[in-house]
Amino acid sequence: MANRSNHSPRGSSLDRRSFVRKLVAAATLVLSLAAFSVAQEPEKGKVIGGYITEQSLEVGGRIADTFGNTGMYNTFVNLESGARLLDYTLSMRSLTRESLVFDDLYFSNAGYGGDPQNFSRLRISKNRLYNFTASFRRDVNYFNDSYLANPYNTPAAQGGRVVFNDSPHLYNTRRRMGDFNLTLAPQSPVRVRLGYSRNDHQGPSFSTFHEGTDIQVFQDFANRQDQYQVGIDIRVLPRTSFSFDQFFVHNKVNTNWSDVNVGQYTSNGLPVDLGAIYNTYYGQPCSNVVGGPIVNGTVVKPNCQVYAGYSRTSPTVTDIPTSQLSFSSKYWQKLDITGSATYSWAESTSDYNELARTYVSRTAENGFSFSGPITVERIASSADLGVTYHINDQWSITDEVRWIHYRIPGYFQQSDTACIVSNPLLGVTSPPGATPGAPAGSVCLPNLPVAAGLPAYSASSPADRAQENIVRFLGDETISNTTKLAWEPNRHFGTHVGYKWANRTLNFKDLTSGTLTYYSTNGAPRGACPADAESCTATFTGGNTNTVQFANDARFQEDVTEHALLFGITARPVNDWRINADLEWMSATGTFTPISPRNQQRFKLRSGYRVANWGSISGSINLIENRNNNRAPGFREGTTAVPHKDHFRAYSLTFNVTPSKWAGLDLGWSYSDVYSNSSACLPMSGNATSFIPEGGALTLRCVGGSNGAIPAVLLYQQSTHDVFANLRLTPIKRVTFNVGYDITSDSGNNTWLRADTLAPFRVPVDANNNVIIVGNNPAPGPFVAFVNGPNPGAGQGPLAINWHRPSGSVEIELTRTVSFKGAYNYYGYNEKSSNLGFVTPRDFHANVGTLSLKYAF
Amino acid sequence: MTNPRTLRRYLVWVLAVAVVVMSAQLFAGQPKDAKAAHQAKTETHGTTAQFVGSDEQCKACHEDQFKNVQATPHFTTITKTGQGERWQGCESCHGPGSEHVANGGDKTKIFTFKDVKAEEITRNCLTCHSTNLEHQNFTRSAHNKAGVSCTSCHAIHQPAEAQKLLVQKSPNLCFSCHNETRADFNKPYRHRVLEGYVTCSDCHNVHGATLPRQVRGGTAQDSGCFKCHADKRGPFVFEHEPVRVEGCSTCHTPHGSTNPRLLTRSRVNSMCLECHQAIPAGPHPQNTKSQACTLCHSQIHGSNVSEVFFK
Repeated sequence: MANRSNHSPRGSSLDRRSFVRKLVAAATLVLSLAAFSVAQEPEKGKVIGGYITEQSLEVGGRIADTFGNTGMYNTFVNLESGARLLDYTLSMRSLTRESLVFDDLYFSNAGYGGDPQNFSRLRISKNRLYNFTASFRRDVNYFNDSYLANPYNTPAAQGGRVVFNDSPHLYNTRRRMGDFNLTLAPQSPVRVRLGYSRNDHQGPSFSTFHEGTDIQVFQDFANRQDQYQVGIDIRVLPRTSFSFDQFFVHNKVNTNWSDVNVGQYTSNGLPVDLGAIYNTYYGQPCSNVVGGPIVNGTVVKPNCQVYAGYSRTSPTVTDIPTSQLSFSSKYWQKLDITGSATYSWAESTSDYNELARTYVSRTAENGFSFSGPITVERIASSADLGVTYHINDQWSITDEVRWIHYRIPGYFQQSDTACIVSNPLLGVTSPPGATPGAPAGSVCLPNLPVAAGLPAYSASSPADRAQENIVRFLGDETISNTTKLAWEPNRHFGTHVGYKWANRTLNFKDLTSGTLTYYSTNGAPRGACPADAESCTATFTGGNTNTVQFANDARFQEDVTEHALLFGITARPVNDWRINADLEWMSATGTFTPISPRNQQRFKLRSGYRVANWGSISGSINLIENRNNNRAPGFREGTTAVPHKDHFRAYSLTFNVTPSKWAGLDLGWSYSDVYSNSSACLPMSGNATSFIPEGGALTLRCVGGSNGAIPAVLLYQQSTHDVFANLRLTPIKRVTFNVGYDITSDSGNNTWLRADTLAPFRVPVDANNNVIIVGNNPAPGPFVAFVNGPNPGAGQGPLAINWHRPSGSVEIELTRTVSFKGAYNYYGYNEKSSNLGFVTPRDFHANVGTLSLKYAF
Repeated sequence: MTNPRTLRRYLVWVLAVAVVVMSAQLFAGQPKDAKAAHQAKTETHGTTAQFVGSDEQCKACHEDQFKNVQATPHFTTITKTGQGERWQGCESCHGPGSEHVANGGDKTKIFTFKDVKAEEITRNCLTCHSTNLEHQNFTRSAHNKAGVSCTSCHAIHQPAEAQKLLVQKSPNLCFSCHNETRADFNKPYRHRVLEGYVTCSDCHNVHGATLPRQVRGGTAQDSGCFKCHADKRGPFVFEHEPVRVEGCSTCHTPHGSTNPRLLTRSRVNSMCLECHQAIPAGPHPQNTKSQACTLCHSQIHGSNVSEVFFK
């Protein structure tokens, strides 16, 4: 188990007082220097070797002081103390444009020395010969939001054992990306383009795995992708260009997983992992795990689901060659034509190996192996044609046709071996012998103590051996046509109206077949045909072996057609005022997901007005309204299903005031509102049909779905305000101050409602927050209160937060080449209410000071 | 499109479009020599002026602008001499200048990029730039439809940002219209655009693309997100179909969010159950352990071995 306690403040050696003292001292020193320095005009470049050369180097350091949840600070900010190369920029321009190697060069760098993002960008060009661009980027992908994928274990005070303070899916990986592009003879009729990109993503991270109990596994992340490109542009006709590009992507995944959290022990000394979920009331990982706090070294009870070892590897190589032909022509004065056709064939191969030494109570497995070769392809074709015909100076008509087709056939030749404990006594030895007839190489867990009386096989025990040929297929074909008629009578007004038609067909296939071998100990056949098998034969050969051969042929096709009306206007009533508005009104014959819209209206409005040279104002409205009335008809007995509806609405306003070059002010406000209303059947433990939430028994039942489920409606509402203000002042020529404040404030509602009355779905709980449901075993305690359900521990997520980011900086030109820069940033994250279930609020605040010297030469 | 009825409808639609286009041409009422007239007007910006053919005359009055252009990539128009006056120097953009010169610098006698329709500005620039793959879809871009011309973002003579000749630095340039997007990048979970690590043009082709919102597609005709998030690319034996069919934004808000992993909902279960509205009861009791779907379904973007994305 990873360290689950990570709340200690960082930088404890540097308290707030010393931080402020250092800042004040540094500022005093620099201001003194500025006062005695001589005002001089900065020099704009030097001529070096025939080039006008400008360079600037900014070096300095950061002082970071963090209080509160460091996991969240590192997820959002991750700036730490230390020296930095904050910026280095080099610009060179040939005076004569006749230099031998290059005419222009631009090179910039930032963030080196420890910032979570650092990058370099390079552009070099030589007139008529080449253009070269390159970039290198590296980022620390740190993620430790303890709310995501957290099992919400009940705290010890409420009968639980261990609460995760870190995310079970913590990431601390590094991504290094490089992009290199070279264009040869950029101005000639025949132009050649070469490109190479690399994305190398590696590092430690965690994930979870579920079989029996859920264990946190160490995920040694390793993914590298190389992409090559060769392209040629040919311009043999006036205003016409043909291009051909050949891409090749090589993707290599070497991520592997292993269980490293073996901190507890069985009674006979075997190190084991109890898993990530601790809710002993519901038998997770077992009832009355240890009878006391779980700490490293705890001895677990015999009936606990545990892992004594888990490993998984799946080295995967994917090659994707892609060819693309495209053209663009304005050969005819009234006609603009662009088009492209692309074909790619991805092939991915992998060799999967998984080995577990475990005890799974449901299946009575004592270990399993899972392996086999994998081949997946993705064959994709697409074509696109866009034609704009300029009828006259005012009218034009555009038609766009797009066709996309891809299919993904996948094959997995799966081979399983399950080890079922046949001798439920302490000291089982393996293999062979644990499972009668099990072949050598079975993975029975040695020396795992299990409780006496456990059955050798349970009703849910899988086949002892399985050989399956899994064949999956996903196909998708889409064709769309959009026509727009545009009218632009003058520069003050323009409008367009259009119609979009699209048809999409999806195909799914499951053509799995295989052989399942079941052993038994009592001479009676064990195992049966899979319920969904298209054809199946079971052969009990006598003795203890039952062989089941099955084949599936499941196919599914869905066809959806969309129609959309498009309308837009552009207006410029006066030169400094622009207005754009777009409306899209779509209707579809069906959807692929329950939340996809059958009816959609999109509306966008943007406007900007430059009041004068000293100020401007701009604003926008963005509205998306979605409806899907086609959700699961008959989903609720005796009534129609609640149609899914959602909307996204955003409004923003920005002011910019620059009365003189000595001062400037930016103000902005933005508001967004996310809303959805959706129905679902909530599965519950125990006898859900007799479950009585607040307000009495439900009058509706879930049908066609889960019988043990509660019909409910999810109401989701999230409102976010963002306000920013930045003030720039230059009181004297060589000193510039910046002061700013950004705040994001979030609030909302993530509540399940009763499907019959639409009142909040509140569940009865006992003193330990266990939901009281008839049929739960063990029986819950006495009723204490109704709380928001279905899970008292789930909370609402980060729906009530404040994210403050005030900042201030000063830049002082000490000499014509040297400037001092000082900046202060405050980061404050505050979860306003305790709506995170059993996860405690992850508040933090941090002071980050940055001091630097900039040398321009 | 396997349904023959659908195919028929489509063909009827294409035919209707063709009829509209031809009718529009018929009723446009242009003279027989419209093509020649239109071409002449386009190439000379509607004047009868002649090309002066030398930048020296321009430089005599507009020395500052000339020097500025010399410092930009457009210096190539000055050095380009092999394709004729139409493609050379100041007149390659501003059109023939003889009348402008003869009338003592009369601004109405030359194309100044001011007080003209956005479409005219765009057409002028695309004369040279349309053959670039990056720009070739501009005429059908959302920016073009919104009346955003080249000079809305680019300052040819005095750019605030020398790279790409921008009127101001990116991303502030983009935020000047897309102000609500700036708010997204202020949120705690975000792509690092304000930090300069990611640029708007990494994900969007601002000059026009064939996908909605001018998003760049992947080179393998899949999502452009896979360039950085390569581990999600697949293909997988078991695809989580919405990832392929509806795209990443079904579950993620790409610019920024207050929700972890840029998810569209603050709680994972709420998001999943909106689609998976009738999940089997047995293993998914919502009142007990199934608090976060991705705790068990950890490989939610796709898997080669697990139909339910466990591994």
